[in-house]
Amino acid sequence: MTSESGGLDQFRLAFREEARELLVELESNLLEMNERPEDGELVGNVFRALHTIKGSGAMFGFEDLATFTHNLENAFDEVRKGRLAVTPELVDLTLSALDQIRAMAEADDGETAADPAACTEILARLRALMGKGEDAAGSIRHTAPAAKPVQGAANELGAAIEPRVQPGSGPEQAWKIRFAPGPDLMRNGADPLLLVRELRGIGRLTVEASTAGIPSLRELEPERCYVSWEMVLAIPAGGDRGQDAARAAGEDAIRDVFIFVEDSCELTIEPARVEPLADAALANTGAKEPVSTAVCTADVTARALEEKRRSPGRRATDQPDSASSLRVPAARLDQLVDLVGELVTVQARLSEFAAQSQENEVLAVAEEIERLTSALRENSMTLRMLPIRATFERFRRLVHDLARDLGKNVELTIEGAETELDKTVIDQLGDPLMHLIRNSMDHGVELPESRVAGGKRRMAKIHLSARHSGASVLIAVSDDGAGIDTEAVRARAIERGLAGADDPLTETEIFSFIFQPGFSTAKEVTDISGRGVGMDVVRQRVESLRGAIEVTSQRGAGTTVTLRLPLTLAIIDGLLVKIGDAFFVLPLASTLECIELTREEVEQANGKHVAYVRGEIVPYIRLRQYFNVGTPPPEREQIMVVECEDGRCGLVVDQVLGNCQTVIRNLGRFYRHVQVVSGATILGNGAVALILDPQRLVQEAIRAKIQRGGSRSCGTTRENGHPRGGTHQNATEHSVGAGVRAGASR
Amino acid sequence: MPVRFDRSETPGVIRLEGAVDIGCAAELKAALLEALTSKGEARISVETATGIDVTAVQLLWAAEREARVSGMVLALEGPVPEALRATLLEAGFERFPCAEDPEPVDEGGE
Repeated sequence: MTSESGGLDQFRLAFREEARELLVELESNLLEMNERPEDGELVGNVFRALHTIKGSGAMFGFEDLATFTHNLENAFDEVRKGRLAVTPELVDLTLSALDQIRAMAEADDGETAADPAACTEILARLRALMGKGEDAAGSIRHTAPAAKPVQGAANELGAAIEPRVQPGSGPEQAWKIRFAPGPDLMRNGADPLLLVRELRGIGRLTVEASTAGIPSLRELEPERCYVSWEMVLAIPAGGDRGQDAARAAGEDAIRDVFIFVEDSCELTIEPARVEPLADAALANTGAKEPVSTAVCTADVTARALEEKRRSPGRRATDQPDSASSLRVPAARLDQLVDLVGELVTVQARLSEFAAQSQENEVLAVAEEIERLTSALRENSMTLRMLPIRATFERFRRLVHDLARDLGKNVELTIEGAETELDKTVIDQLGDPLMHLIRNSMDHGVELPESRVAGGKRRMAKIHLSARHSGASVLIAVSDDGAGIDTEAVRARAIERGLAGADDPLTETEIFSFIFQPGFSTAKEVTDISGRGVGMDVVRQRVESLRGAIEVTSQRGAGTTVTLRLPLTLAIIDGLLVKIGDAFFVLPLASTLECIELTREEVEQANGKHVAYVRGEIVPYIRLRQYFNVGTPPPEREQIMVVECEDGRCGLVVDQVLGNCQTVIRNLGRFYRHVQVVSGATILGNGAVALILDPQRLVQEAIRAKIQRGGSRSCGTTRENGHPRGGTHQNATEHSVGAGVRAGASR
Repeated sequence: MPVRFDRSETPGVIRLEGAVDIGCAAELKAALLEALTSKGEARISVETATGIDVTAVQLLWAAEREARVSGMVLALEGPVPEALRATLLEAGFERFPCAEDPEPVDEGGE
């Protein structure tokens, strides 16, 4: 019993997870529907998502949720049939209903976290929209349709299901249905008999089971279904609707019966000739008999459908691939990645010992383990990579609601939603993005009248984008609003003592003030922003992710805030280098090549920190100077050429030791202001190596150069070899000694 | 236990009780295979079964076919509950498996 209830809890949790995903998808589809009310595909998506939430909610004991959702499903069935129009009111109402469904799904056992009054009002308004105002007073628990419910699978599971196509007299359309369950259909818990029974709820059914496929008893796999069914279903032709619309509705109604198993069966649905009601076959169907309660059901079916409904789509063939995905708690993946991290560290030690031993057999085993560990690491990291789509999509609702509250017209566009990054990063992105969007909506985007007066489109635009850049992901929130008023920010910064009145401030420095705690130029605090908290949260969260923020803004044209985030927070491929006695790791993804730098070349450069690489000038930073390493340099140093946002740049080290899988460890709070180091790692010999952030190193060099009165460029080069502004001379000659002492020595 | 093979009786009786579904399909298969090895005759009782699914139906179907080929008798003992009969009727099976005189499901019963 305990295990059963434990199992049920597990399924309830699985339902909650699925409901969350479906609700995000629903919101997104609804908001798109506002823009494309005639789009039948969107309507179909909404209907199916509601159908799934209702069905699985009922299975796992969320009866209020199922009944409430059933009403919405009915409304969208009406939309699907062309009897109800998509209006902003319907969309808003459905969005409000989704909030209640979300609350119901998140409620603990036996509790209803939804607001009953709000639910009643939503249902009343919904029924009014559907022209059923007389029932407007129905409450959550009293919303079962007046029609006699079909005694099918779904009502055993808690929700009264109204026949979507009412059987009756009058013209009929007929459908020939062939249904052959796939090998795993029953193992997954679905019951073909329940599906056949559900078909009876939508019309007159002639059914014939074929036992021809049943093998000998010895060969028969007990949990596999070998029986197939040929059926003819006669359903009402659809009254005054067009023939095509009626046919489409009829086929949809049939497909909905198989919605959870379509991927694990062969299903063909074809129009057929209507047989007279008196046909002998129909007389034998027992269609009018009450359905008994004898069919073995339930928990098995519940388990079943839970598993199968994961795969969307409407393929009518058995597709093993769709059944081969499974849902794993994120904590288990985290544990796996942690263990792989430990394994990588131990493997590094093994490789070190093997190298010292000089035993061929030991070396061969160590190399094999290194190869396998590397493959395991890549695989386990891939498991945690998720597309950012779901995070992006949920902001459609935020933009919609804020636009309504603020009286602004704003559309949200999304780009690069398929970009993948580590789940741990994605999980922490929600808050910063929300604050950035709220800020754009409140301060950036102007009121429609102001926009029109300024010659802009009435409809403002907020653009969310994601793309990979080396070992980082760039996530940007752009708006075409008023842009940042640099003078106001500057004045406020001076007023708060963050800058002196005569300080020569660059635009970047001015923009950086908006991320200071409590910093706001807003004249009044609104519900949405103005307290100076949101952008501080963005900064803190991005820093905790070892990311960076870049702001560009043009007065009158808009603002873009770009978050540069690491692809993963766990393990990376690195290049181990040595400077003096200290070890450092450079991320392999941002390293392009390695070239030698001789003492002679250094002398010939007359103090300029530039090298010529195949005719191209590449400036470099001498890390031994940067980190104040006192030991004498070797005769031949190495330039690691790295690709940064600002172009190519070299980082000069003493020696390149080779590839290493790098488990990233945090340096802790004391080092949080050390921007050029993104963490540390433990080497095979037990030594600690600092992981360098080439992008930050280069930016730091540029910043120092600018502070000393130079141009913005530190002489980094683009691929075409042209420097970005300014001169190359003495580009990185400064010994930026700020900060970090070299890593631990051997 | 939905499947119980009563070997103390002659002929032996496989008694199916409660919900006879995929959860006990392997057990039912084993019992039927054993019953088919017995000489001459075996019986199946579904009198106290409350439900049946397609896995059980196809096992009974296969066993009946093999019994007929091997010349033994595998037949139902006692009446088939109306609920089971209705289930098979609705699902389009022409008769209940192992019914001694192939009895159409829609005509049998009370």
